[in-house]
Amino acid sequence: MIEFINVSKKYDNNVRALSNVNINIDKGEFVFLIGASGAGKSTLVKLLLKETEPTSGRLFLKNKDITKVRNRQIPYIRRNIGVIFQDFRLLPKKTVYENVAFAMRIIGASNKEIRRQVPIILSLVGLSKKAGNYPNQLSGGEQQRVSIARALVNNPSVIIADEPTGNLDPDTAWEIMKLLRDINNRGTTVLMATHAKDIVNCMKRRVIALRGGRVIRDEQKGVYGDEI
Amino acid sequence: MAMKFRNFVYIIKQGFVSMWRNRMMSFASIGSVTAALLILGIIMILILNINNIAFMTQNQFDEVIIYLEDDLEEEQIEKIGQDINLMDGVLSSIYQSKEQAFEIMKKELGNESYLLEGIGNPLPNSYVIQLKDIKFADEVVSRLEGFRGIARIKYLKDVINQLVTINHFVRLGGLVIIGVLILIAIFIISNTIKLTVAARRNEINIMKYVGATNGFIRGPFVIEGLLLGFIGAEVAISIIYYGYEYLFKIINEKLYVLFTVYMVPPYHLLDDIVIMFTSIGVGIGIIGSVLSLRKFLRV
Ligand SMILES: Nc1ncnc2c1ncn2[C@@H]1O[C@H](COP(=O)(O)OP(=O)(O)OP(=O)(O)O)[C@@H](O)[C@H]1O
Ligand SMILES: [Mg+2]
Repeated sequence: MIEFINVSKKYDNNVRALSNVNINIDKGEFVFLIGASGAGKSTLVKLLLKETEPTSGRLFLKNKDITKVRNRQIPYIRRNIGVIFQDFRLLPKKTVYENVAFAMRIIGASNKEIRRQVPIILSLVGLSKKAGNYPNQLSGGEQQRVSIARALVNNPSVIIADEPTGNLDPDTAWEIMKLLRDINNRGTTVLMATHAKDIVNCMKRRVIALRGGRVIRDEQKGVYGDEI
Repeated sequence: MAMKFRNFVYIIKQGFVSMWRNRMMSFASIGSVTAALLILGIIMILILNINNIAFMTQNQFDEVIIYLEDDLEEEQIEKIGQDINLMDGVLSSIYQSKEQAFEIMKKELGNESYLLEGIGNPLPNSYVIQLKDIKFADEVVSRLEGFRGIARIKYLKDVINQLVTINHFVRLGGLVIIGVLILIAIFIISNTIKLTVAARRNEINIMKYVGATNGFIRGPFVIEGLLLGFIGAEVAISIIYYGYEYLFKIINEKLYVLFTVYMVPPYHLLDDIVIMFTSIGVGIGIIGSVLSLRKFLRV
């Protein structure tokens, strides 16, 4: 599903954010990406989203080489990926329903498809009753659910979450984790960058640890570890 | 990928919404397009009318007048008349002595003819040559220039040539002014669109992550620019058309009925103005918005 082969990334300011990263993630896996601040987690996510290009190495998504693609191909690559951010990134002037529908409208879905799909997804994330609310009328956890619904609505094969629980209290964070686990159980691959030690330790999923841009550990049913 | 129709409807709606949101800048944009096109319209009407006058007078006045030097003998004057009648392209010639010319002038002055009393006759002897066709004018005139005893040659081709020269200058000056105004309009529109872009940063960001194509993201902004240019053009069309029609009417009714014969009737201009102004206005709008988007759309 996702494959990094010897990927390095050096930013223009000569910061070496990733060095010789080799990662292979299969369909349906749930993977934690951990590491101290500045270890290169977000850079890895940005490479997958084609926000930036690797300096060397090769990058595959769904068996397609996406190392170097034309600018106009990028939107179509991104449609395979649902993204979730720490800060939710919802549109404040749109309701919950509209925020989710927006993601469908953007890729040219019909009103009929939108009317059918959005309620299904909202019920999946447990927000059916809040469909008409605006983001500022929701709790942080609810806002993150909306952003998960938006990431899911176009049926991507991968969900990438960059510190999705970073702004949430522990209880709410756990609700979000359960939701992501459910989504993963339905077959969607999940890659989650996080600092949340408890969550990583409890979930017992694959853990990839980065330090200084290198993969220092990659194990199934891993834990957070002391080296971070 | 072809833009789907429902996307298109959505985009147009967004265009109107953001235009309304920045109504001050939108107003300035529309005004700048209108201003540029108004100047264009005025210059166009000037040029067309000058052309029209040149064209119509050309067909009406196919004469050449020569003024003779004052100290010629009778025989010399007659010889000139005979030579003229022998030339190709000359239909006829009429001699007008300085006395006859003076009488005609007196008659034209009517009650004010006393003005001429006490001054000597300043008018020269002349021949009025009727050409078979205006196309012989240049040839006849250049032959006449070889004659002795001719003080001055006056023919309407002169006037026409002058009109053509004026036309050139009007056109050149006009092009420069219009060019500058169009650049200003593009600049103002691109700044207006930048405001919209700034106001919708978040939205654009999200659109990118969800996989919107650049075309889809650009769409609403281009539509907004296009609408600004379009509205500016339609305002300019109305002002120019109704303004010219009003002027035409006033000249026709209150001043010289005859003069409007030489003017281009307003309804002749309407189609051209509508097509030309609309395309220029829309063009300005699209260029303005595309320019403002160029930099920031790189992922
Ligand atoms: N756009 C950029 N230009 C230059 N350097 C950058 C850029 N983005 C990140 N970096 C640098 O690259 C390194 C890795 O950054 P990255 O954001 O990937 O870390 P991270 O693991 O996501 O950290 P955090 O846990 O704080 O989010 C850091 O040293 C950072 O300063
Ligand atoms: Mg980060």
